[in-house]
Amino acid sequence: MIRRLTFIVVALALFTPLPAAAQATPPAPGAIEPPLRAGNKWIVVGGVWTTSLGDCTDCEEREYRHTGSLLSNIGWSINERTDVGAEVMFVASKANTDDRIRLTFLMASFQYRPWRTNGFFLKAGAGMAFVHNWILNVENDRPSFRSKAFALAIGTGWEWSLGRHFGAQVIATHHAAALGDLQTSARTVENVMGNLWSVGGTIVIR
Amino acid sequence: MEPLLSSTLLLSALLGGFPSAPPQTPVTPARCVGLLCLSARPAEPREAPILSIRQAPGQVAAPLVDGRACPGCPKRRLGHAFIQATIINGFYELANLIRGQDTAKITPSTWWLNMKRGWEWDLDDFVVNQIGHPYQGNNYYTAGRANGLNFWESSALTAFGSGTWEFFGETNQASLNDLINTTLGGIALGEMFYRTSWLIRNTQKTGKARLWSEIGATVADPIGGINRFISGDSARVVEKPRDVVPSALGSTIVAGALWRGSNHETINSAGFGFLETEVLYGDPTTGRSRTPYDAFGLRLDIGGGSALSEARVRGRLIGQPYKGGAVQLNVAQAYQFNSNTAYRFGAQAFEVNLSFVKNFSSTVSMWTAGWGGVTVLGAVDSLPPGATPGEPPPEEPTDPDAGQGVSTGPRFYDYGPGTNFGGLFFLRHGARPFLLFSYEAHHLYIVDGIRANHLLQRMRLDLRAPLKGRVGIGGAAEFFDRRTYYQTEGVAAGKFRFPQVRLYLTWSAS
Repeated sequence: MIRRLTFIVVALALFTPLPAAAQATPPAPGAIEPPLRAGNKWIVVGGVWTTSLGDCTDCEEREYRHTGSLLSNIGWSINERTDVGAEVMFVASKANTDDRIRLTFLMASFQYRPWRTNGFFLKAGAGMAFVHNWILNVENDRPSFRSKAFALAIGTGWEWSLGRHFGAQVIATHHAAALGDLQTSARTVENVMGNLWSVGGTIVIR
Repeated sequence: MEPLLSSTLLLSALLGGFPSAPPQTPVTPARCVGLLCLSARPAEPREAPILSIRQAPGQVAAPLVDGRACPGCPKRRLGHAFIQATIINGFYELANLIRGQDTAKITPSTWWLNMKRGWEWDLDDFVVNQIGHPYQGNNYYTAGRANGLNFWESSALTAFGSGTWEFFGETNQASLNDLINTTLGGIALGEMFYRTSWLIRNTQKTGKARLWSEIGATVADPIGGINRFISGDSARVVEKPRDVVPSALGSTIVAGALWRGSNHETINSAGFGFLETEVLYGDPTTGRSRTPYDAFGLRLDIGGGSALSEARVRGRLIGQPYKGGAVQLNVAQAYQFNSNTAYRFGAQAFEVNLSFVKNFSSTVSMWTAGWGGVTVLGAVDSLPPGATPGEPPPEEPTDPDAGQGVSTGPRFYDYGPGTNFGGLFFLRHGARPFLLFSYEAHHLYIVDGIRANHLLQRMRLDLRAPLKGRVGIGGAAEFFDRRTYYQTEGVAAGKFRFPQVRLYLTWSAS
């Protein structure tokens, strides 16, 4: 159900804005109009398609998994190029054993548009990830656990204006969740790391 | 070694003395602080908000004239900035290749492999990760500043340079800790070096005096200096950009000896020499500020048992006075490096500090401040259960198959996020403090390394007295406290205390 919902959100975000954006920005196609002012709110909601990789020092094989995720930002613009705020990303998946995997990123987030006249942006964030199970394969030991992790994200994308307060983004991100060492029943699994690559679309409210 | 060399040269440049600029228009008089002189600054009400050169009230961008935000500003060239960040990566890559590092043998397939594998924690030396990477980040940052980008834009450029280096500059898997240290450390060091270079540079001189001031500034900020020599800005006679002229400047050089103790002995008779530099740029105790680093503090401690025992930059990002200016609230960014018997510690942090100044008379005043914040990523030397801080790490066999420059570990320090808090209390006579008390605490929650919560505390009390002119004498009592609470059940916490005393001479520039 979540996957289907995510797909619909991504599809809407990706395809709906394009004709509207072309009409809404006559001076420079793709430009963010009107110019953003400091103090504006910055709200982003959308869906992304996520590929995740579980890794650790002694992992026997590294599995890539694919799933839908929800991505959201809330904050404000500190100047016409820069937004700061919080980011929440929720990733739901399943392990081979049918155990549920849940990953929630909660981070401080920073988005920057180098050019005022087009929608290209760079994004970065750091904070915490709350992990319920993760993809691990250490000597066939798949531990079930809950853990907090150190989280980091970088990303890039393009934003189109859909009017004074609305916009849409296509976005590609790389999130990392560093879980550190995990104690299983048999041993300590060292340096467990989650890497997640995502592409998708979001709606922006300013 | 580059950061140490650069710091040493910077110190030499600072001690060398710089000429002051003659006033041109209605200005506040040029102020000399010891051998350092601030160039004249257009007169403005003391209470006027200090804004970015491109941000008038309401954040409306000022028009650029000849591509410059002000006559003394560099031309705004966004594309050049990104290209130069890439050239800097090429320079470091080439340097590694010439040194024969296997990690420099990059190909498109290593790029693809790095992108497929994502982030990891690396195993490099403490100094490489906590000083070397921030210094490299400072190069990306100053490339942005040299091409007319503001603080926030240059910060994004630093992240870009760091990210591309991690994925494409080495064969190593991209390192999470490097990205953070290079980006955040690079921003802190970069803005500090950028502003320091503008203290050294005298844009109203000509001839040899000008050339030497530009060369001196290039030592502090090589990327900015090279850009100015290439563009010809190094010879233009103009006023300095307003936002790089500090509202105040104070510095003290402290030289002397220190003696340490440990859990077992009060004070060891064998001492170490040290040279400490304290710089206070701008006035962090007052003013509504939206110009990052218009006020910052720098402390550099050479010797004292390590080649570099402390490096700290704390820069104001936002400042807001309350209660008619009686209380000052600042949001600051901090870069920190410590190496002493008690701990080796490095951190990238943000903090909120609250301070107030009380004048007891026309000459005697008190400055009190307290702060607390978040440590985005901190590093502390590993302390296995039962071990004592300062013990040399055990000999580990090296991997004979590992290529040159490939770190195979083990790594003897741990990484994690955390919090920080502290306070200070200064009594000052004029601009010179004669009683200084400071306390700082850092908590780290280790996620990579020996799972533990570390609490590192430090207290220091200094008493100083003038001897003659700018020269004074002083002494300090310090106390380090290190506590390690292991996350493994049943393992006793490690608690260590290290007293330290200092005797020294001071030279104050104010």
